[in-house]
Amino acid sequence: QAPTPADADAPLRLIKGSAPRSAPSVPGKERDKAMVLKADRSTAELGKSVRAEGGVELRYGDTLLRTEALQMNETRTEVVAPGEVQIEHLGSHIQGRALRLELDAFLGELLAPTYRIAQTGGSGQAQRLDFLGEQRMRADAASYSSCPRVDEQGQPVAPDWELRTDRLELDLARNEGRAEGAVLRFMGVPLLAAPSFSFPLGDQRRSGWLPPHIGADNRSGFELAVPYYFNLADNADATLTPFVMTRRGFGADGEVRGLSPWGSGELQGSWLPHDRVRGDDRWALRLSGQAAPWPGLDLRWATERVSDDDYWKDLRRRIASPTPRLLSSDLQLAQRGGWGEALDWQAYARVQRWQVLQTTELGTQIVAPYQRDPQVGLRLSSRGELGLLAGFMPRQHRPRLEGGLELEFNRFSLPAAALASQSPEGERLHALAHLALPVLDPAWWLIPRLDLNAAAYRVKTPLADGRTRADRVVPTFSIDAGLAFERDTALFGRPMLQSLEPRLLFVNTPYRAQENLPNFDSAERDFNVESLYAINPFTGVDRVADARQLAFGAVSRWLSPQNGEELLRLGLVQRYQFRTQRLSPIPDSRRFSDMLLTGAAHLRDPWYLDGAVQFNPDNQRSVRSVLRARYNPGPYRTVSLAYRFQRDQSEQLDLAWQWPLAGRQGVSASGQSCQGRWYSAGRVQYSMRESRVTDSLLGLEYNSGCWVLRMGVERLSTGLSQANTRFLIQLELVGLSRLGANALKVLRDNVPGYRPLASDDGLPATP
Amino acid sequence: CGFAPRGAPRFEFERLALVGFPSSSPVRDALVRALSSLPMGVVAAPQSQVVLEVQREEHSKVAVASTAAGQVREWQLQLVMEYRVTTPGDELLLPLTQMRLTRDLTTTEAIALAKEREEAELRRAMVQDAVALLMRRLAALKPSR
Amino acid sequence: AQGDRTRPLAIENDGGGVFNAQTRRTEFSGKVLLTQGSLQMRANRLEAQQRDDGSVFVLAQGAPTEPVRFEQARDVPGERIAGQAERIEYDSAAETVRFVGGATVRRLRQGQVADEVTGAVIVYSSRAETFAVEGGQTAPQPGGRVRVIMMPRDAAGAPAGASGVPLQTTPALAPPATPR
Repeated sequence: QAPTPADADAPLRLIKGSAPRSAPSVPGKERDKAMVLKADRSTAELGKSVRAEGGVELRYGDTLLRTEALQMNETRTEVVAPGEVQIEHLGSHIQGRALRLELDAFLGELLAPTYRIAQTGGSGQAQRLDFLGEQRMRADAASYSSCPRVDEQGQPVAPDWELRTDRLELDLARNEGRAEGAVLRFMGVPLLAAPSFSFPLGDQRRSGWLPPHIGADNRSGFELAVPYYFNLADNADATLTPFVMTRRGFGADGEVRGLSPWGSGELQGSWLPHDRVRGDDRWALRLSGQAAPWPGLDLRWATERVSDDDYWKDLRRRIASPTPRLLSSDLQLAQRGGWGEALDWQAYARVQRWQVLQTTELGTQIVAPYQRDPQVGLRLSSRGELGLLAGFMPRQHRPRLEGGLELEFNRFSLPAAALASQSPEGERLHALAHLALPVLDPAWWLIPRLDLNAAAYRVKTPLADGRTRADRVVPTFSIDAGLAFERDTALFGRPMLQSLEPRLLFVNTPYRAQENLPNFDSAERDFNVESLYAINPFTGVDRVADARQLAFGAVSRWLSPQNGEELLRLGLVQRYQFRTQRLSPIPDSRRFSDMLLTGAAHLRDPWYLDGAVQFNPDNQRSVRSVLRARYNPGPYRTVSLAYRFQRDQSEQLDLAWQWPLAGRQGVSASGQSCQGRWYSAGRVQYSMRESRVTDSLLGLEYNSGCWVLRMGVERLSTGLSQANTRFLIQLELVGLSRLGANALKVLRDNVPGYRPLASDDGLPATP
Repeated sequence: CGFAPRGAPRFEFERLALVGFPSSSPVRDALVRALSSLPMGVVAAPQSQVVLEVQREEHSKVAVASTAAGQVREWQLQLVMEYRVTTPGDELLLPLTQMRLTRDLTTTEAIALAKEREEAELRRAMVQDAVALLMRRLAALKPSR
Repeated sequence: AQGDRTRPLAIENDGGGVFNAQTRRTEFSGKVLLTQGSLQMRANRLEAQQRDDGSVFVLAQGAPTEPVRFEQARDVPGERIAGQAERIEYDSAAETVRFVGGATVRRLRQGQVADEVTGAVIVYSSRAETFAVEGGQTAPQPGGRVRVIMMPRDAAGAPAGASGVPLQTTPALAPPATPR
């Protein structure tokens, strides 16, 4: 969980706490409390002692005693109850016999106690209990578990897990439980025996063991990892996770996190000193952070490096980067400011490098991207530039000249693992300028705009035409215009407000020769609404396509008049070329481009549909289409199916779900929102062209209320024919260890719509 | 066919409070810019008539297509927001609802720099969509009800 | 106080007393006030019986709405015992006072309630300074239970939850006003 930058006094929320326990009532000063004694019979020696028999009930401040016979010495408010006694104190229930308790200081002892601690939902019994003060008690030969000891019918039942100790000390003020000579049993099987063992009682961050997890995969064998959490300070913590892999040997993962008012930082590392399979050391290192030492300055860094090129095959889950074979090292510094009323400026510098995990198999090699080594720039922009709000123009807007300028120098280098065939390194100085005169009105808008893209290059190895220096300037003129109509209508019998928003974009860019110039950061945009209404089909700086074209299209929205929710949206966009482009990502001599149909619907509550189809009018066939359906009736209940088709390239079905399977819904003792319930989440990607499952991931989670079992099976391809099947299991005993790192974090990163169980605020899902 | 040019949106309140956004939130910055052209003041909660409380604003991306050799070929960019609207006195005007916007983005390693700019543009487009959806929700509110 | 036993016993009432020679018992009715040293009792009807050894047995009758009231100072300076019940029996020989029926007895310190005992029957021995409390239907507490409230030593004040009628004390022996 990345630390969120917090202000100075805010508590450091580094680890998500578990469900909030019932807060104990603040123990008032006992001394100024009256003592009320009820019984069948009583004899009192004035001001000295009181004896009571028969259904005795003694209330003193927050403490309530129930017993059959009671002797109380009034001078030191000491209570003696020989027989069975029940004590309720700060929400905890304690029962036993032969009580002696000095009520003011809350010191005393009780024999054969059984207890249930409200703060943790934990309960147990012991031979003897010593009260050591308002919030501290110590029990000899004690047991402790957060599992219920009585089933629904009230029959006593053995707890699923139990900690048996020679001595157990519970300190509710410091939220710490210490056990000596402890044996932990789960379903009767001894899991852990430790001479001394401490565990957190509340949710506050305490140093201690986190739930261990066990995993297995066919490349590393069985893996056992037991994390230990260090609560270093209010604003810093660390987690050390020693692990052992049957095939590869011993190692350790580590994480240190720090937070301060002006920034946060995180260091993650993994070290496998001697990998028996590969024979050498395997390590991974990730450093990330963000800092804002003074207003306007923003410093960010995120770097990740691993020891070897096969790291992604063997230890994939220890790579944090979403692209396992392309690891970025990125340092960004930006200073923001304003000049007078009308101008904002931003000076920035950046170094971006890559570690490419290259392979030897030809088909899977990576063409390495360029590195910014460094990048230095200055951006100026007029303040209050109003972006076009997706068909929602707020109000009459006086036409006002707006513009922007970007001056930037880049030295592009190639990472070490770049292929020999890749084009050379070089330097570029560029300027991107634009000037616009937007006229905006709720019913229409007209934005004439002039763009200028100037770039000067310097390369060491001469270009195709022998030059080592080159420059060019490409101007672009464009007019963006649109209208907005509305009418009241009905759809499927429901009153609707329908909007119709036609839009035109005329772009005129002269041809400028760029074929021989280096291309460091330009590429074809995907075919979508944003790219059709863009003035350049290339992204980046290095390529500006010549164009005299008109993009035209319309969007129609059906809105609910009551709450303004968009229930249905249909869109159509196409482009007409007045002359064929000489420089374009994909040469296309057709006058009319492919047509893009987009839509999104949320007509019936838990159903969401959206899609986009790129349709070729000439051969009446779709070039590319993405259709998605999602059924999301509530939190933890979502099933989404996506169909992605790319003509002659790929056709893929992607099923993702999170769904409770079985078991009862109810609130368990420890406040968890579900008891005895199976949850499943997962994702399966099926390639219809290769008719095989490419990647799949299944997570199962059983929450019995007092323990949570997490299991995960993951199948990741690691080569054209190889795959790595990975299995993971984690047992968590609620109340014995703070909710630790959820081993199924991989679900959160890979299942769209997955909601971790710990956060269960129910909410209706509508856009 | 009944279509008429759209009129300016009428908001039934002038003082709005924006609460709960993460410390650096593109949606809040875009919303403030959009509201600046309206007769609408963004004020602190106690002085406001309507409080837009955002409990979650998550910009994330999930790899939805990869090659057999661990190369990502397509991302699904996501903007998930959970928000509710109340009066300063915490009377519920719009229950907690979730907004989920997505954009697809193909990618290959060689053009990582170009795709980085395209991702930034698509995320700006999603933020504009989110602001438009929020503004429509606010325009439909009747706090004086 | 301890010395009350030896002090002269005086009984006043409106309607005068009827003396019965065989039983050596005199009966008083109307607003009766009995005083002996610091001890005071008020009742609607009262029977006093003189014994040979000079000690006396008093039986005072009240009614649920007009309980018999009892007061006596304690040896501890500033402390007094005050109680009420439907019927009070005072035996000066045994130095015991039996409160029977809806009995409530309070120990007052500087006029503030230090302890309060309620029950069906309370036997107060002023010599041993003890109370014995029995439950029963006539106890004011629900379920006929006994209740003992002990205020904290320093913070005196009305006992939590005590519902007793605030007691009126009459410093001088003026003719008794009708007890509220």
